[in-house]
Amino acid sequence: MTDWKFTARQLVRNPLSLLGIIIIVIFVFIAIFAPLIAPTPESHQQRPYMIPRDGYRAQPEPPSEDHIFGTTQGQYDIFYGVIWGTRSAFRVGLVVIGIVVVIGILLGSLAGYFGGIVDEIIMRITDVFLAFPALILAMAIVAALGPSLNTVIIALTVVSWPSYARLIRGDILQVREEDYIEASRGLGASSARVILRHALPNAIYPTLIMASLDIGAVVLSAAALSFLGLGAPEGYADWGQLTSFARNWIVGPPGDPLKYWYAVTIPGLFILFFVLGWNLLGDAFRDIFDPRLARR
Amino acid sequence: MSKRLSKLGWIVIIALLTLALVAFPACTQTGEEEEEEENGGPAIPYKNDGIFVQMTIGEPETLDPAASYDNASGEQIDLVYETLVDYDRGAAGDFVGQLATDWVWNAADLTWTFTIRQGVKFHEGGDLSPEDVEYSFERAMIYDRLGGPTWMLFEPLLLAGEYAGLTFADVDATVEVDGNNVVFTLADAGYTLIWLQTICGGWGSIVDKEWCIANGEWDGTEADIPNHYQQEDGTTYLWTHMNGTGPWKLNQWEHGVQFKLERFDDYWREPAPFDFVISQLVEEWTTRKQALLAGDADFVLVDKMYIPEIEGVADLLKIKDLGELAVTSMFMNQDIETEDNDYIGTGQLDGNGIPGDFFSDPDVRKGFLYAFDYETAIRDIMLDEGITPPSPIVEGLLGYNPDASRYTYDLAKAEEHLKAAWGGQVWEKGFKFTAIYNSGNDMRKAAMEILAENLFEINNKFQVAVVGLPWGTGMVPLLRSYRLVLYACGWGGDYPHAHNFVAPFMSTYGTFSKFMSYGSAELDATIEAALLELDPEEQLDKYYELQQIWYDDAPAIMCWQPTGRRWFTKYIHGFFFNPMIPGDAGPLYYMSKSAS
Amino acid sequence: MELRSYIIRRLLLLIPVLLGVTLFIFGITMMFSPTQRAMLYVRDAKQLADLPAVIERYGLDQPFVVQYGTWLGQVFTGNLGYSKVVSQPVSDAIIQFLPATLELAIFATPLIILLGILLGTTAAAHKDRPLDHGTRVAAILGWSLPTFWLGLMLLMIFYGFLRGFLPPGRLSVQIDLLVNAAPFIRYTHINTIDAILNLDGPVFLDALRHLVLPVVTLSVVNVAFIMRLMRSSMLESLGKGYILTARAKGLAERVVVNKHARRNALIPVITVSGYVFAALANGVVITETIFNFKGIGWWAWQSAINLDISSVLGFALFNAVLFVLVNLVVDVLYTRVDPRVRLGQGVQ
Repeated sequence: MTDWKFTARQLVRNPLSLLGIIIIVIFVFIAIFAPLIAPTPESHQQRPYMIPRDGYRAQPEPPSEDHIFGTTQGQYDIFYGVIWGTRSAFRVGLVVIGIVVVIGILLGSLAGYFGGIVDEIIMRITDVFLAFPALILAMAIVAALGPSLNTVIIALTVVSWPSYARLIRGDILQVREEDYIEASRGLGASSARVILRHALPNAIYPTLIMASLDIGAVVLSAAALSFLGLGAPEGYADWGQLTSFARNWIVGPPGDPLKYWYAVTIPGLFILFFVLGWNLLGDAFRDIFDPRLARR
Repeated sequence: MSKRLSKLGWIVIIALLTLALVAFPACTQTGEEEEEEENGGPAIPYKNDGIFVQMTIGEPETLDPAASYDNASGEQIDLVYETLVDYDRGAAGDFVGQLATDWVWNAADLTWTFTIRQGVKFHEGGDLSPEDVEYSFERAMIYDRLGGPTWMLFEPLLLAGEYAGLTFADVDATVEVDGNNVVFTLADAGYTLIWLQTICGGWGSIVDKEWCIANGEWDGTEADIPNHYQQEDGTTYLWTHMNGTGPWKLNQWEHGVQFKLERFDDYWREPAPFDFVISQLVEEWTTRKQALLAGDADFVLVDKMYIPEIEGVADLLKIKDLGELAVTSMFMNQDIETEDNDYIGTGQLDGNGIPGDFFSDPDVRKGFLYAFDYETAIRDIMLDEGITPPSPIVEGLLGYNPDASRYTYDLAKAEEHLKAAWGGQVWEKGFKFTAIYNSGNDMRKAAMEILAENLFEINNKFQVAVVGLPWGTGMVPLLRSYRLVLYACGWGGDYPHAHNFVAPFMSTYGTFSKFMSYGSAELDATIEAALLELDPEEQLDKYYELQQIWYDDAPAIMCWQPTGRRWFTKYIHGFFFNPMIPGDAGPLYYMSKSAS
Repeated sequence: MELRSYIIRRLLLLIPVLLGVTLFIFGITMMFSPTQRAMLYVRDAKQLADLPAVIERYGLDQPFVVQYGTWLGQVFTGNLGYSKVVSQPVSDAIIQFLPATLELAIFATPLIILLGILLGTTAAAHKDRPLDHGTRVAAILGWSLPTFWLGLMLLMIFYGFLRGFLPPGRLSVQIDLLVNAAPFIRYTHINTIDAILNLDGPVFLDALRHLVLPVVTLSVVNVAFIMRLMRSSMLESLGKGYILTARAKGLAERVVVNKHARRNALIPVITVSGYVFAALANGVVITETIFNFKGIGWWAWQSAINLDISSVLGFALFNAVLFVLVNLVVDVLYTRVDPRVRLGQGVQ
């Protein structure tokens, strides 16, 4: 792409998008080097994603030498949890968005290119899915399949694909009318070829932008499910679960209302920065690429 | 630019005005109590004079006294309906008359004769008569809701556990009207005391016969029994309607939100101390706590884990060290239904599951009992407010043996037993299954995690997943269909007698033992012998013997017997403790609320 | 196309969508084995003792199509099943819990949309300048804040520290008793509206006082969505030819932004406003729990965690119908706002 250099320059020049990039790079770093940053204790080697705990008391304990971020409800180590939770966050975010984009491209381009009855059927199916409030549908799916990280991924995939299919369809519709598509059709190119070589590449930008925006949103939805008790199993390194552990400790005893700040803020900040990073990046992408925005 | 700013300014001004408007009544309402206390946080204002507001988490299941067998239902029934006799304040062995003015035991005929109080009115206007008493008990027995409380009536009256197998004539003969008296004929003299204790419970509530019949309940004849025997849940009129003789009557039941009772003006005793008793369902702990501290609630449910958060508040009435007659255990099912069961892995002893009879080997069970860290559980989960009972006969019951043999936390012994289990196969291949607790009960969850962690530590092929399921809709169906493998559950006494703890845990028909396939005809005979023994010394020996059998059989892990706590605002007076009162808020009729 | 035939066409289109919705939710339950489903359907211990009889009675081992047909037949007669969580029929539960949620939505939706438009316009007018960055970061912060965290913080400050100033619940205890007794008539069970209809000031103020915190929480969490939509829509419209013309004519920037650009940029926002209203069902779950403002979101959540499948299905179905209808209404209104949009072209 000849645009690449331009894009990169735009991204770095804009302070907000630069901030977004830095945040995401830091998280990638944390995810890759998690075993070095927070080594798994000997006794835990077989299940590194389960947070080690130090006793069973409900009340969180403040940061100490053994637990530099303190422990949360049930004496789970917060530091270990947030570091390894970064991996869970990337896993949920990337897997869900990856699957969703593929499904969206497949169905969206079929609908957009062929139109007519194919379009009608696919769009009615997306209507069905869009008719449910996402969180409620995800709740129902997780409740039916039994809570686990994989079920959360399935549930979020099921609720997110329709909007992608619609987006791609809309863009294909727009592109379809353009001259060069008409031209290649006129030259007798096959449908698949026209979709793959011409229509898709031009329609895919908005999708990718939306996808980068959505990674944060997906992680947030996963956290909400976790909070409602419909997420990863107890003790699994997952930010949503860590924040939900803090639920009953947000307000401390009278006279010391912020007593358990560490249990509340630290996992919350990780979610916040993760979502913020992807959002800043996504917004920047959109400003740069949105074909409807005049490049000034 | 300036115009946009001014627009923003307008929005701010309007917002402030609205807030001020809203704040005005709020401030005038609470403006009187402004002094701050030195320590222990701000003073709690006095609110809602004449109204008792409590915030808890359980929704009543049913208002039908013959069907109710859960605490939240029992609590409301206790305030609306009345029984023939009641416990005398805190004492579990002394009784006071409620709807009976007198009661006499005749050892020769094995009869209890109750003289019925005159001039008592039901909320809907009916007068109390001996026929109402007879009808109430007969209705409970012919209804015989499965999983309900009526088994407790059948045992002393007919030496039976349920209506099936009996006739109406049998039931009819046990309770008869005689002038202004009602005569109960017991099956054995061993039940003399137990009968009085039993009918103090909500299942002994007296309903209005005419009113019930007029509203489609059982009409009192044998012919109508098939229409009401084990009637489907939710279909009895009394399920959602109340008409008792108690100090309060039903005002409104807003499902899932609140339950409101109002004072009954024609009550036969002194009128109730509160115009309204309002029980709100508030699931969120922080919300409950803030409401208590703001004076909007007079009593809230405080889980053990949150005690340190409000311990230091000066304006609270704090009551502690209450000897609850309750126990929490983990049960091991010795004959698991394997069909359609998601909780036993492969269903084979191959390292990825367990067979249905896994727990029938005593070495497995003993290994588990030694692997549970009792002291950590009391310290970390109970915050030292509880003890480990050696057997189901808990402290406070006649028959409790403080020196009974008990299991302790001993990983070496656990390893020894688990190595011997199933001819060494368990140790070699390992196992995998899912343990279940009722979701929301974090204390039971933590207990299971202690066990799971320790087993994993002994041998990392021992894998127990801990999963929470909702009680009514998730656990109960699995339990009753024998699909639960290892599950945590609690028992609170129905009446303060060792038998009420032995039978559920050790008999073939017991609430727990039945569903873990524990017990035998021989053991049942031993339990009955202990119950019916009339000589106190002998009886004590027999209960001691049962505790030894429990130890030898090792059927379940006894986790803890809690010590109770209660938290009111300082404006509440008159609380006294009786472990048999179903509501945590206590004997509301004897309590009061005032600003002083 | 004429308005009436357009509405009829849209209503006809509802049928396949709703059929799909029912098929889908029913499909979810079919992932369980007959025994497991029997356990979900049983209402009491008696039936539990004999699960094969339950399977037989409800035909749970019949082919999918037959079971689906039976279930659909029940739904058409208004029988959505029984909600164990609140021990009443699902349809009654919806009637009981809907007003509270509606009340929240009635107050939160306009606030979210107005705030979103205001912030979005500001950000777009100051693109890439500090005010833009600030608004955007603030909106994203609000959006990524865990709802329960924000809610409990607000509760601590405005209820805890400010001595019961803005309490949880829907009404104070004494006002609640007043509302449920004569002469007060509960027409809608939406307390603020009922108070107005009864001309009762204290009740209105009390209801309002209880509404502030949940409405603010909902708004903070949801405003980012509208704000971002408005911002990009504004940017697009600011780049249009007629804006350039207006600028070239020497009109003040303020007039250009507020008069010309914003009017056009509003269209997509109006499109989604109905969506915001319906989608609040998502956001209210946690808000309703924390502020003890028991509405339909709380009930659905309780049903889900209690595996009360018939309630979840009933709720999902109800919600889908509501959603589709609200969208229809919005689309019709939309044509009034912007006559250039012709009926029948649909709105993407």
